[in-house]
Amino acid sequence: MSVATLTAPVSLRRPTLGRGHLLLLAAATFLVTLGLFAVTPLNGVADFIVVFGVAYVSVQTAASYAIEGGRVARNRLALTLLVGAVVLAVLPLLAVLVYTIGRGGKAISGSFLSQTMRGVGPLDNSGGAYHSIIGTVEQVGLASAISIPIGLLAAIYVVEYGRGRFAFWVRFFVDVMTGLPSIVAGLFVYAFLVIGLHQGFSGFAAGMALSVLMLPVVVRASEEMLKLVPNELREASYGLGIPRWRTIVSVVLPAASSGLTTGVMLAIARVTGETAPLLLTAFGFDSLRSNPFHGPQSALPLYVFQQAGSAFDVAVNRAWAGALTLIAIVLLLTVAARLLTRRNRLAT
Amino acid sequence: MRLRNRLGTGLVAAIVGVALVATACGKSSKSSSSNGTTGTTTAQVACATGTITGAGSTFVQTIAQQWIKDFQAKCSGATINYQGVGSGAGITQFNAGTVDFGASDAVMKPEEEAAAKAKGGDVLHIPWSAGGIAIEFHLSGVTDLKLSPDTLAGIFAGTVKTWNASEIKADNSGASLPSTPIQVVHRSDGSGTTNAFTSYMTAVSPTIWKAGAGKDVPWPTGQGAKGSDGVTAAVKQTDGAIGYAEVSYAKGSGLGIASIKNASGSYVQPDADAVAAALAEATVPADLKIVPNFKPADAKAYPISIPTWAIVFAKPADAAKGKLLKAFLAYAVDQGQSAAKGLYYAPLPKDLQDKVKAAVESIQA
Amino acid sequence: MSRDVRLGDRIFRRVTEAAGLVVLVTIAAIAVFLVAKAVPAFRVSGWGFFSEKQWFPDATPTKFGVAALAFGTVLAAVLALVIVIPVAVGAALAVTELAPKRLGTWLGHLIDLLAAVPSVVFGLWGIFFLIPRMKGLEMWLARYLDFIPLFSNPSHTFGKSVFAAAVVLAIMTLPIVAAIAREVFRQVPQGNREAALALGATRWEMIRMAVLPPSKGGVVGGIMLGLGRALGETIAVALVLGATYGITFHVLQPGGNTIAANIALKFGEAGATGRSALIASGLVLFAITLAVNMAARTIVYRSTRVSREAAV
Repeated sequence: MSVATLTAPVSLRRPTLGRGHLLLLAAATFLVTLGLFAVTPLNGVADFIVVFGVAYVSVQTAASYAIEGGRVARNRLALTLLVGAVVLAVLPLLAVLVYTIGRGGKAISGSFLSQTMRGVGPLDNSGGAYHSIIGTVEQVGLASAISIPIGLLAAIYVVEYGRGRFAFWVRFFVDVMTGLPSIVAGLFVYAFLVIGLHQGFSGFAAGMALSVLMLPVVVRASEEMLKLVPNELREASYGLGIPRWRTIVSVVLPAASSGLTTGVMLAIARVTGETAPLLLTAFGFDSLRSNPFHGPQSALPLYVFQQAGSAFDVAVNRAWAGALTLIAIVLLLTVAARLLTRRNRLAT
Repeated sequence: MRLRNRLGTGLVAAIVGVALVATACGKSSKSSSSNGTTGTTTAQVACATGTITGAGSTFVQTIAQQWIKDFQAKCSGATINYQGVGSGAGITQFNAGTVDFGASDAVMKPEEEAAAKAKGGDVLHIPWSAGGIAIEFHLSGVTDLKLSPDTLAGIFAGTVKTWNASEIKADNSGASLPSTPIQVVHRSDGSGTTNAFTSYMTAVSPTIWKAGAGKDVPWPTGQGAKGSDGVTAAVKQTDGAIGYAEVSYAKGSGLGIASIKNASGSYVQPDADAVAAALAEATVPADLKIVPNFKPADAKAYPISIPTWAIVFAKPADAAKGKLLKAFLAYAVDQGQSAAKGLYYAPLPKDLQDKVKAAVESIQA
Repeated sequence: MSRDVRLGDRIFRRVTEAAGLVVLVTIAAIAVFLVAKAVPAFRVSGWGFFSEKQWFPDATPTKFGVAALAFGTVLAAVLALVIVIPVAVGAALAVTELAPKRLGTWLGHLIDLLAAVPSVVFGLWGIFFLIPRMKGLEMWLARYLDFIPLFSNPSHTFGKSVFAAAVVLAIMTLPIVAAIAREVFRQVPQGNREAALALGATRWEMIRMAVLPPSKGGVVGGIMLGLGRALGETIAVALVLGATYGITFHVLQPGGNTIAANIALKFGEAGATGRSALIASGLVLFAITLAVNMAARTIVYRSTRVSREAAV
């Protein structure tokens, strides 16, 4: 038996790419890309960002693979791509918002929000969207009042009680309804309510058309959210002797509340911006119509759509201001809803 | 801006108030607003109260908006709601009874008129305005363009493919034209404007333009855009593009407008007088279903000009609404015509206007 | 007390059943309505409705069919999904797994804000902002990737193409898929994540092992909702597309049309046959949505069945 030779101490830690190394890599890639852009016919800020991004990711992955090993390299690559995904997701929002603010900011003002289009001529730089704001609020309010309770209850049925054929058909038809073109919802309400029941154009008819669009989204989203609630919660509640309906109302719904809010908010946001179903139901009106149950009414998407089609800039500016108002209203609704449900959430 | 708006509104109110008082005393007076144009009151304006709804042509929408503004200013208690949903949809709504009057760039088809008659009795076509269809183009370095009917048809048929083609050179002797390929832009939605333009091409160049006439045709070339605003935006974005739209869109966008050769051989721009001159040569039957003349002999006439109609029942079912409708139409075809030029429409020629006024008078309300 | 309990349960169950019934009746009524209104068009066109590409129902002779429209609808939706699924799921993962809690919540709200933008604004933004700027990308794709028939562009003009429409659809679908994916990922028990990490998995391996597998069903549900939006989007696509009737895979070429956009574009000026034909095309869209949803539900069911069996 020989004496084991002492070898130099080996670190048990793998070599890693520290932050400093990464920064160095980034700077080097940046300079190389700059050089590339100077020499070749490539130009433009957007192109530069794209090329730099691709180059940096490749360089980082290669370096990581060489120094840190395969698993860590894959990890870095994946995480970088995820960060890229979120940046890519936020980019169009910023692009749309900045563009809308840029074009709508000049026309938006207190008078825009408080005046109607009554008595405004085609070349006049006055008028506003007050009547449209009221119309949208009333129509979306009616649509929500109809479709949220029904949709939620239907989703509860499908998830909690639905084992048989009936539940299958409800699920099936809800899936089909999610693809309904918005204009067809308007056509349907037009044929049944406006013409069939001789009610004529009204904000209520628009609300009905919007609720036809909202309903499947509410049902589907709520269904997914309710399915996520772990069965253990339900079983624990039954174990305590709580009746089924009470379990659903007091345990399952609060557990799913943040997801349900998200689903409902998605549905509301979607229908608030729909134009096509309003054309044949609300029809449009230049003056204020406070009663949504009788007579044509305006709405913000209609307003934007009609003003944007004008030949004159004064109208197009109003269209963008209306678009900005619409986004702001939905934003307010979303924030309000989140604040309301924050108190009810079970700690997860 | 708020203060200026308030001042402007106050000014208008004051002046209109004075005008109303003055007309009540039987004198003729002028009224004006802070911006935009208004008609001059040459006679008393008959007023009525209530709310009426109309739907139809987008072609007439701009001037209808002006008429509504001025009429409502003169007649408090009157509310007119007009939505430009398209001529076809307007007729559908009129026939369904959901609106009190329709507006269309084309006369009702026989089956449509029969359906309307079954519902509410005889139908009147009231030509209340006219306008030209401008050929707008975007070509760097070129501001004036002359096009003969055959060249125009060739461009939209796809046989004339570049801007320096021999046909275009022949129309524009002496001009330097680039070799940019021509990018045609047409309407993607059904449209009365398309109907008018294709009817024109079918009438003047049937051998070159073979796709027929209609609100929607199988365009041999080019891309589509929604609405005249869409066509104008698309033309504006592409160098070498050409499209068709109402004059107001072409003027508002700063694009070049082509001068079109008429039957007498002169190249004419779509100004209000040129459109009115073409309209004066149209065939006007007793029921006012005007057939436009796409080959006007007048040297000043712009050939791509069309009238547009309001469609009403001769005896409206609701008496009160009928009164308001009659008063509004009477205003539109009389005092309202003075607003036409400022908004790029043509005022009705005198002879036609008299016939139209008589038709409005005949509404039993 | 037990009688009250049973009564409470019964009433509640009946109420939810009633809600399900309302949903069923509504959709049945819509289906009946559509079929009734579509029949006149089918009488005129016959079976040619499914093979004819052009759309001229009010012309003489009438010639209309849904072939090009259905193709365009599916193509645009598939393209949009291909773009949106990695971005939305990736963003949702980044928000729930990578970002510190507050930043994650804010980023989530930011992405949700995309749902607040009205469709007409997307259409207008598409025309005025996106399409001119996409020309550069489209020209690059057509020049360097034209060996792939998808990206070759024989017309050499760029503008309102199916690709542009698909990008706009992707942006509109993004908040739906991302929001639902986010909720689904959040519901994964923290314990599962910690177990994976404790075993020495890297972050990404943890995500792959603990977060993604139980979330498949929910995420697919979100994708289906997003697909519904992509298939049925009317106004934005109507504004952005170049509206030609052809069947081609050259997505960079101007043109293309979808069923929903076609309805929006043509309905205003359509005659009686035209309106009926448009509604008939709406029925075809229903069928397409149905087929896709059923396929998705089957896939999810099969994959969860495998994992359920494996768990046993």
